[in-house]
Amino acid sequence: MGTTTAGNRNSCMLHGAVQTIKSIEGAVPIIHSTLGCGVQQYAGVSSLSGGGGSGYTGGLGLPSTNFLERQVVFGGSSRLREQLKNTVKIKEGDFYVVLTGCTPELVGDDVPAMTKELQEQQFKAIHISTPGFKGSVHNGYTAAVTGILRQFDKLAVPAGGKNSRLVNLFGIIPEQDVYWRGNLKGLKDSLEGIGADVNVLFGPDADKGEWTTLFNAALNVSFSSHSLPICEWLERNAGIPYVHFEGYPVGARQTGEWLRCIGKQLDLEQEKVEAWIGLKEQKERYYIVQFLDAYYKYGFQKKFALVGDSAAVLGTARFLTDPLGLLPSLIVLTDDIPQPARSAIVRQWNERQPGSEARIVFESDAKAIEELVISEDIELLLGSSIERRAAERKGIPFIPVSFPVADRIVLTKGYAGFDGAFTLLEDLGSGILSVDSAHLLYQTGAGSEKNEQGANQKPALSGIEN
Amino acid sequence: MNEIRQRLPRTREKRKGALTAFYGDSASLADELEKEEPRQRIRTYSETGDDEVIGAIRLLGRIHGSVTIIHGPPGCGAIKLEDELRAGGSPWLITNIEENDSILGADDKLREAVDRAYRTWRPEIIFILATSVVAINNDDIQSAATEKEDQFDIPVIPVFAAGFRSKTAVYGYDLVFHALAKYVLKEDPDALPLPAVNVIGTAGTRTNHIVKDLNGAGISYNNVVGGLTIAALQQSLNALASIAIDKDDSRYLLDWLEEAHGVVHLQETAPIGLAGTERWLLAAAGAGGSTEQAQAYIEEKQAAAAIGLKQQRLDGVSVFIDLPPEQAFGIAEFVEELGGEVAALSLTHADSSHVSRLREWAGRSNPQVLIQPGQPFEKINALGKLKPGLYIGLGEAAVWAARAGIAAAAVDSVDVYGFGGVQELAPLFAKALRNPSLSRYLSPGSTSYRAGWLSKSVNWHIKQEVK
Repeated sequence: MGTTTAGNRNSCMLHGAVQTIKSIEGAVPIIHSTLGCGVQQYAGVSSLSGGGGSGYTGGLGLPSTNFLERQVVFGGSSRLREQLKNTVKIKEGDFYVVLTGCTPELVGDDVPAMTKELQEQQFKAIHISTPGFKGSVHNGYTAAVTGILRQFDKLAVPAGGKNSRLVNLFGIIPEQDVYWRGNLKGLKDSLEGIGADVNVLFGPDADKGEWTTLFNAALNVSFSSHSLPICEWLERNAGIPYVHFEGYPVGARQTGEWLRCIGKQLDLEQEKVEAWIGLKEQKERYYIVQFLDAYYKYGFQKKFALVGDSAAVLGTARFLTDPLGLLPSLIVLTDDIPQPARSAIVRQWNERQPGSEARIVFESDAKAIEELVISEDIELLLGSSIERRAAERKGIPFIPVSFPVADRIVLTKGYAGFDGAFTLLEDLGSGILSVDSAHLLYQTGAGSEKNEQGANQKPALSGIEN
Repeated sequence: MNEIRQRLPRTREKRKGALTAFYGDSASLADELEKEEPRQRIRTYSETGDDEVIGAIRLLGRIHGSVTIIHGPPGCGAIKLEDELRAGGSPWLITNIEENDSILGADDKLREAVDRAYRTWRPEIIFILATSVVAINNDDIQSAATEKEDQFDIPVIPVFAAGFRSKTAVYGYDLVFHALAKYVLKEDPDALPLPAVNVIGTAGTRTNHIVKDLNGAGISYNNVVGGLTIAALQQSLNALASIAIDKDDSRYLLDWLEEAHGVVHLQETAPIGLAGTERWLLAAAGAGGSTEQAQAYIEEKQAAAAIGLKQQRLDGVSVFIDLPPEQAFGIAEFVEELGGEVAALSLTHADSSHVSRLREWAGRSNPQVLIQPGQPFEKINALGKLKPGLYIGLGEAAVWAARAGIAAAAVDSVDVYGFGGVQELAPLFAKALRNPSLSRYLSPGSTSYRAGWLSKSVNWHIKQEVK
């Protein structure tokens, strides 16, 4: 954040908050900003997150005050008052969250007072300050969740007492993690196997009422430095301890380690935990054995580079390295990570992958990343649609794993947990085979476009369209 | 056009009396727009929509050899990422203005961004697009642009968008064309007249079909459509005349070419449908070709199309058309050619330039006209009351029609113009009607709008602005 960026993939704080709030069932975000802020989120984030749609209350249906010049001059508080009063009459919702963009923040609108008026009318409503100039999409997620927690008394009464088996999951950012729904489901399934109860909080796998039991949890789990402030807040204010992991686990080994840690924290029956992990290890072994023939026949053991948010790619990189045996060469983390967390990520990687030659680079600029990837000696690239071009230039297979993903529809797919690894195996194998198929087409002359000298004019991937 | 001396063009509201909220019939809207100063309407509840920043970003993305520097916080460039990945838009940088910059200014950051843009892409032209934060802080973009223009000897052009000056997204196009006219396009006294007609389009204009038609009809044209080049724009000053594919989008350029350079604007409606394409090609041929040759081509194409269209009739189907004005009027006419009935026209905006078209429709079926850029809450309400057999719009809004249980066709995926457009549109409509299972499936409980709202009148939240 703060420096000029080419091909910026990290949108603003307002957008991060919008996509976080609209992913909570029954929540209605209300944007207090200019007309286009909501469309920028819809077209520039949701639609690039594996074709994310309008959903129940997103897309063009996002309530927005649509700030005009007169509000810039005279203030927009009365316009907000009018919008809030009418939103509750038009949009069904369990609660309403006013999110402020840059313009009203610069003008200095009294948003708390307007929101209070709605609260006084017995509507569940809060406001969260989320000007785009204050941070990235990741900060928007943090602000939205902590905003809800701080003002929780305005929204709900915590239900029931402490649940010694309940775990809250934080750090998987809806839409910025393209596979967020599948990842949350994968983690939930993995945790339920050891007898834990799980609040995933976002998306279709969040049970009704999860937010009201959030304060009853025995443990919070953080998967990214962007969720650490949330967990720290809950520890300070609700006495809920937390465990932090750099990235979600992928595959049996990582998920097993993760479950053992949580099982210990929750004091769950160790035998049950081990039995579940053992069962899943067997299943993974079965699929990896099925995968083996293609692995050796088509040369899957490749040197790779991986680009994306830390939460989304670190576990994937570890799984590809061990057990799959691929060779990590370059890992580019594109989210805005604080310096201490950067050092911790590098240290942990080196501890877990002793002897690894992989470089970890923190960079969000698309042009700089392109140059890094192009100059790297790699045979496989995993990243976002922005990196696809570099893979095409190098003529190597490409697997989309991080935001933005502009050319795939993603609904339930995810890489996290035990079963997520199987999806990763499928995507990896298919990605490599599709390029090999293209090469085969060229070798047989089918579908090739050759110039007078007989050289292929197009890079390997372009042959696929033929 | 005196406003070319100004930093900004006047908004569509001030220049053309554009309205972005209205509900009534075609005749009453025409009456309203004919007034010297139509009464502006505002919404007391609103939903998000395209603004001038988005309009400008989309048009700038089509200018070949350019780099756009978005001078604003990171979210202001979100849609540029989509433009780049989905539409092959031009390269771009964003200055990522943060809190300190919003207080102290970010001129230095902007200068560094221009340096980087030049070093990295060696562009023909660099645009600096201002956004709301910059507009409020009044950052001195102009000085940075002038300084860097002198340094690199290429045009460095400020585009003063704000996101809150106009309620229309097409004002973003006006801002870009104004900047080009003010800073880049200059009369060359030695330039020879261009024996061709300018064919002008903007950001979303697909051109495959219309280019085929222009070639088939033997019309000489200067292509200022889709991927714009500075050379073609410069040549447009010396052309015989201009004709727009969507004259609403390119209104500013068309007016400027006519008023400042005497390049007559052939005021023809969009080349959509059989009659619309015929009129348009004949108008273009009258200025840049042979009317006889064009007529022969048109007859051949119309005869070929007629056979196919017999299978794709919309006889007796009432249709709700929800598009920007020029596309809406064109497709409405085509719907009637297919035997359908236009139940309502839903437009993103309307202004004084649309009066004649509205009068024409008032004299036919006088359909209801809704002006609603986005605003699904009004759309769903209107669809529930009008109960059309078919909805035609863009994908982003068609999703809401489908949820209202209406068979929906989205035209984003097809090239709607010319005789080729006829061959794509008719099957698109027919398919939506042949199997409306999805909208049937979606109709119960697919929206978050309260029953209380849906029982109110469509224009409940539209009020006349108090001056």
